[in-house]
Amino acid sequence: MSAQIAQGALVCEDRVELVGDVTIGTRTLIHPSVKIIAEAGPVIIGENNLIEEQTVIVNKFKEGDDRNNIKVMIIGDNNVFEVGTYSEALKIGDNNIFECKSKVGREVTVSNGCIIGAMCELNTNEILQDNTIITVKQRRIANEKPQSQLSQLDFLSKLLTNFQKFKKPNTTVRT
Amino acid sequence: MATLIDSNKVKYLCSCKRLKPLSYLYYCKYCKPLTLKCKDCVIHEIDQKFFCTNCLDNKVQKEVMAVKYKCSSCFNCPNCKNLLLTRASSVKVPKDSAASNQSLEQQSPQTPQQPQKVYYLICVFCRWTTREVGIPDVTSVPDGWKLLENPFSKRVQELTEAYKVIAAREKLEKDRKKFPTLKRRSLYISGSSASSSILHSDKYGILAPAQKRLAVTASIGNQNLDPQITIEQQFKSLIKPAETVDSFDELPEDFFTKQSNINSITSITQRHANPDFQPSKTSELYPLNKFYQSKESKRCSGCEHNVLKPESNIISIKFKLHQMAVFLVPEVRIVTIPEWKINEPNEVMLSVTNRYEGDVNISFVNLADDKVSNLSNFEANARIEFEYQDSVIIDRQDNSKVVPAQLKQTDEQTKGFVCFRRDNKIAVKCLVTPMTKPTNKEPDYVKCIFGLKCSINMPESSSPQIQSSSSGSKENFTNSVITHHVFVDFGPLKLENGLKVVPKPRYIDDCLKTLVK
Repeated sequence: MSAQIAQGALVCEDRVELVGDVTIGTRTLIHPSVKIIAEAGPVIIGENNLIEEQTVIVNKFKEGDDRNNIKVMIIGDNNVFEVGTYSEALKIGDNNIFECKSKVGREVTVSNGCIIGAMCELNTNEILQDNTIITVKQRRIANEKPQSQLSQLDFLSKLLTNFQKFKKPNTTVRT
Repeated sequence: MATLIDSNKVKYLCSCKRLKPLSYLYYCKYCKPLTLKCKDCVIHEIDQKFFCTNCLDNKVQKEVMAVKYKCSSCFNCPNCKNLLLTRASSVKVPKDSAASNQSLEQQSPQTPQQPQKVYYLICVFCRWTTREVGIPDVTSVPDGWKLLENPFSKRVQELTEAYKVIAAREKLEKDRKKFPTLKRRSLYISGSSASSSILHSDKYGILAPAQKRLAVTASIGNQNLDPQITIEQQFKSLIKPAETVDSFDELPEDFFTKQSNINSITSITQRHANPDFQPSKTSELYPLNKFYQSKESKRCSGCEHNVLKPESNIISIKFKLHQMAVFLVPEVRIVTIPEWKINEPNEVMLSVTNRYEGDVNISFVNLADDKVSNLSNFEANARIEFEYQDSVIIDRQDNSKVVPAQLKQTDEQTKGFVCFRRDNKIAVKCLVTPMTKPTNKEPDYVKCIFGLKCSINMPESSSPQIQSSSSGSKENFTNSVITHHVFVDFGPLKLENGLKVVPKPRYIDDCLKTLVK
């Protein structure tokens, strides 16, 4: 099944792999050389997400999982996946930031406004509280959600149209 | 830089008999013969100029002492100790206060609002902000951030003053012991009272500075010159002694009933980073002032000539004098690591890099059973052999105008001992034989020692004064020969846990092929 790209989403053509049932929401920007693989069920990505280079988002079976038990991976709105992120988390809320080279396991549920620091690897079985900040040495809970990256997203989507070819959107905006 | 990363593999013997990687060593060109110096055997000197590494504000020592070495405008993150950045944001405030009162009363949405710039501090590493702990934003930078006042600062001041008095008294008593007879002592100490004092007969004011100093000590000493009062008693009279705390407030009920949240408690390092307050909760963290730093110069411990001298300009990171051993001593590195065979010679390749400004003649010396082999617990357990014992020329770094060493010394002359030669770097073959221990046990590591005999042409430099006087005349070069002891640690004998044989690099193979042609 080919990927469903909503109207207004910008998905670069260059080395982007969308495998399986992938749905990409409107105004989401996907940079070159990103892999999104829906092997163990569909991947649904919301709106206004920024997915940078070499990010890998995989919905895959763990060893010993029942192959017939399909689970849906849902990624909310306004998330930022910085360069080199690897995410297997099934549920990601809104306004999260995954810094460069961070790694999130399948058992983790990321709620809203969380920041996973650069080079941090999270393989626990837990639900992260809202506004959790994880850095190399510590974790804590911030008072407010991180600053919105919308301006960056707007800037990039204007700039990238000059240099990149994009995949054609094939679904209309959901109302 | 590979020198810094793998710096513990090859070490050199310092003049203080310690083993140090080459990048940690200095040399002194005035000591004869040239000696290597490490940071443990040079004299460290701190510059009188202090500066903040962030805003480059510089001050002299007295000024920095007054502000306790803290920069008032630069801060470190109390959470992760990285630099805090100032970030501006705009807050909409009503145009004037009267209008704001009205708007509150009338709740009218039309009150004119005007954006105002406010600043807060943010750590880009851990995303800690001053807003998080409720520190209000400031409207002006950099003086907007006020320092917290230590609640015990008054007590600390009292104590320091009391100790000053005690120190003066102790000094006085020491002086008394120096001049035991009352008569002589009266000459110096009695100060104002004794008319016969020589200090008072000082007609020409020669002794004025000494007089002044003695008058101060005498005045402090005179207050409590009664020997019946001990120092302890005097101290107690000066200051209220500290009280022992017997009772504590009971822990709140929440402490037992509520689940503890480890995220709200600071770590030990976070507490110690701010010794004045030692916050125990993350909500009490306060930005840490950056400390002033100063530059450091190093002197040779033998002849007290500078070996390292930074430029006095604080912005510059260059050196006036920069006698790092890397720029004099050829650097040895391990090129290949074979699959070790015990008690058999294994062929290993070493590279030698010359960073001196002239050509260097080196030769390898076997140091079997030398005294140095047991220095600094090195315990060499392998024998290293070099087939070619004569000298090898290594080019200088910039060889654009001179004859390359390859022409001066052909490969036939070195009998194929030098297997690679490019610019200022050569690679040589050697045979390393790991030996079993006397107890017939296999050693864990392969370590060996050899001598590196370097002969270089150095400009004659007896002392800087003579140099300056004879400037203009031709510089004399002297040939100095030094043997450096090189300690090589090839790593574990058995290559396990992901360790692999390091083969010959391709560029050396290519070089060999061209030689055959």
